[in-house]
Amino acid sequence: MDQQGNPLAGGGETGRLVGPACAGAAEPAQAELSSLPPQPLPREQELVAAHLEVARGRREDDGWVTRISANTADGVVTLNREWRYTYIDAQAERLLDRLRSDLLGKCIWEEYPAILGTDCEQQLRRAAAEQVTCEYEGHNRAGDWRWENRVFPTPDGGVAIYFRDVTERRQTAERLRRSEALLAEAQQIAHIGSWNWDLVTDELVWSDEHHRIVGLGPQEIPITLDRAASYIHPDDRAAAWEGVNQALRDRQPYEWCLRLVREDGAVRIVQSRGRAVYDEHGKAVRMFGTIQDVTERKQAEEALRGARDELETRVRARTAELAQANGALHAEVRERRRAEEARTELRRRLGTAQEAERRRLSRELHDQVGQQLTCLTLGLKALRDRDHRPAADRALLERLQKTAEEVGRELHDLALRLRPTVLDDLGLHPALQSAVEEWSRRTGVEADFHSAGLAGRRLPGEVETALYRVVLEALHNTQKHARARHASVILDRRDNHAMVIVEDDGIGFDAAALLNRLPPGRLGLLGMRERLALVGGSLEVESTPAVGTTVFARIPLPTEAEGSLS
Amino acid sequence: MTKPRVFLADDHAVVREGLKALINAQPGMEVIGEAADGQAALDAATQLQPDVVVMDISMPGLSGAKATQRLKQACPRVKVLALTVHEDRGYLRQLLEAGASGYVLKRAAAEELVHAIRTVAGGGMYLDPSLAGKVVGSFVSKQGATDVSKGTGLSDREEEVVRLIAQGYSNKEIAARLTLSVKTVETYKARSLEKLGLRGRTDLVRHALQRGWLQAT
Repeated sequence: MDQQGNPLAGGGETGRLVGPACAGAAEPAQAELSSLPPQPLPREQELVAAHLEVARGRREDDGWVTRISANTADGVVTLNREWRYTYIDAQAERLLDRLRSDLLGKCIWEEYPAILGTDCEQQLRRAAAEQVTCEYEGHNRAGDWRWENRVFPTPDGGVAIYFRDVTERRQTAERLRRSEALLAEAQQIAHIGSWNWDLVTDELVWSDEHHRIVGLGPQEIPITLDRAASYIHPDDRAAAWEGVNQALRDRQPYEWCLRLVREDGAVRIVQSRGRAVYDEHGKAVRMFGTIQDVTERKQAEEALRGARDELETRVRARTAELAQANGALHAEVRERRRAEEARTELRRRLGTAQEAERRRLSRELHDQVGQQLTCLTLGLKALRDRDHRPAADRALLERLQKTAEEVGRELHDLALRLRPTVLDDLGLHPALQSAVEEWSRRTGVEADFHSAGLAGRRLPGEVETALYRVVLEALHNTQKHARARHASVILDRRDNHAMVIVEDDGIGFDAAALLNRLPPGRLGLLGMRERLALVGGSLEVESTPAVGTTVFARIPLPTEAEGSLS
Repeated sequence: MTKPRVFLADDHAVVREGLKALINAQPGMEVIGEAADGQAALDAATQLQPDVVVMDISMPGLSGAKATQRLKQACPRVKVLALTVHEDRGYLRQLLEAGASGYVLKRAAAEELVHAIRTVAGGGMYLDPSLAGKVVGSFVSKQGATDVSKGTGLSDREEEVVRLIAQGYSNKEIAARLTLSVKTVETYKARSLEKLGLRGRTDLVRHALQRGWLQAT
């Protein structure tokens, strides 16, 4: 290690050896280094003293001291009045990337001709000629290497050059500058301004954007606390101040919205955030924070809230309307159901009343008219049988008697069609049996009746009537449309229902299509279905062309059907 | 033939008068008593023991059928001749079952009654000609309905279909139960009818009954 070229070692030695000697002389140099008068010193000592002076002059700057003591950055060279190198320390050797032995005694202009004509040459010559200290920066041609030079005149008419690589520092500064620019830009874009309030000095600093937010140009005027307070809307001022004090008391960051009155009088809503910084004794020494113009956002929020409220109001109104409509609909449905039930009940009663009327008429035809007709025929017979009756009278009386008998037959048919008394007197089984036989006799179609499960018991009157009518209707259809040769009628009573089945071997038809289309002439099916429905029964029709038609009528029964053959 | 003693039971007084006049006008025939309702007729006839009771079947109180039944139980020798406006065979069967020997329609009474009284009094049976045909026809039809002597010769499936038909199921229901098509059920049914020599559904029901196929349900 070269003692001479080591500024740390040299500085330490010289500080110990030379320090006291030059302490007095050094005093003025501390105040104004550039006006340091030339000191007559031996050549070697001069250089070191100059070196030390430089170091001392920079002592205020911790960075320099650190640098020198750490011996990391600064290189030192001296040039005599002929601009030849007289001293080169190790750091300079490294920075210049030249051997000391190679450079000593060489002329700088010859070694570094690129300097000629540059600021560097001018500053060097000026320092030597005017005996002043110069500072300048230089960089290589590519610009990726920067250095900072300080040039001090030396008593021999030359110069000492302290230089260091500041590439990194410059880059950091550049990054910092860019970062600050970005922050400013970000503040501008986000409309966020920042402030810093020194609680000790009451000094307040606003960012550019803060200025803009209140309608000022960047750093247009110095900001004081009073000035800052004046921008707060009068109505919000007391609360804001109290809020800040509260935050300081609670040692909590704060965040709230308040109104600002801009330079132009416009009122803006800002979101203000802030927090305090405390010293080691817990005393608040500084507050800093941001404000953001959220007027548009607040207005948008307000509009959104308004729209939402309106929407909710409308939804509520619409919901209420719907509920009302729904209620009305339910009421309507209930009403219709009631009406339908009432209609069904009415139809049922109508059917019952109709049957009762038919029963009464049928009964009267037999018991009243029939009896009187019997009287008539008996009387006519008696008249006819009297002795000495002229032949013409006898013939007339006989004709009258035959007519009366004919009326009696028609009366019976009429009564039968109205309602067979046997149905009421004896029940469904005999009534159906008679009806089937009568139908077969009248139509010439072979018919067969079978009954099972009744065992002499009667079915409820409504059920008997309905099943009787269905069978007659089915037989009527068979006669009218089926061209059948054979018909089967079955009456079957099971545990929980009574049923009749009427089957023919006729031409059949498309039952499904018929039930859907209901062509005229076959409405009997609908009538049957309706009649059954009134007593809770159902109708099923199966028909296959060329095979025949079968009608199934089922009516549910109470578990123990009441009534029995009397 | 003895002189038939006749008892009249009819709730219609004028009719009774007419009948009485008619009967009494006949030589060797007389009305020995009359009643206006079933119970009175039963009581009087039991006491009077007439040869023939002419009984209207629709009277208030005890019906003609019931009165007939009880009278025949009390006095089996008394003949009952039903006289009615009802041409329905249901009544006829009921009266015959109750023990009546004859059944005369009122509209034909003027001409038929005297003959009918004589017939039943003589131990015969009299039915109005227009009803007689119905009775005979129905008996014939019923007897010819099923020929049980024939072996069934039905396949299992056919027998199953016949069983279900006899139980009152429709082809559609049977098809659903046996997972067959309706068409197939129809075919089984037709084939079964042919094999068994039957005409229709009623025959199938009776056939099933005779074979005891309906007991299962």
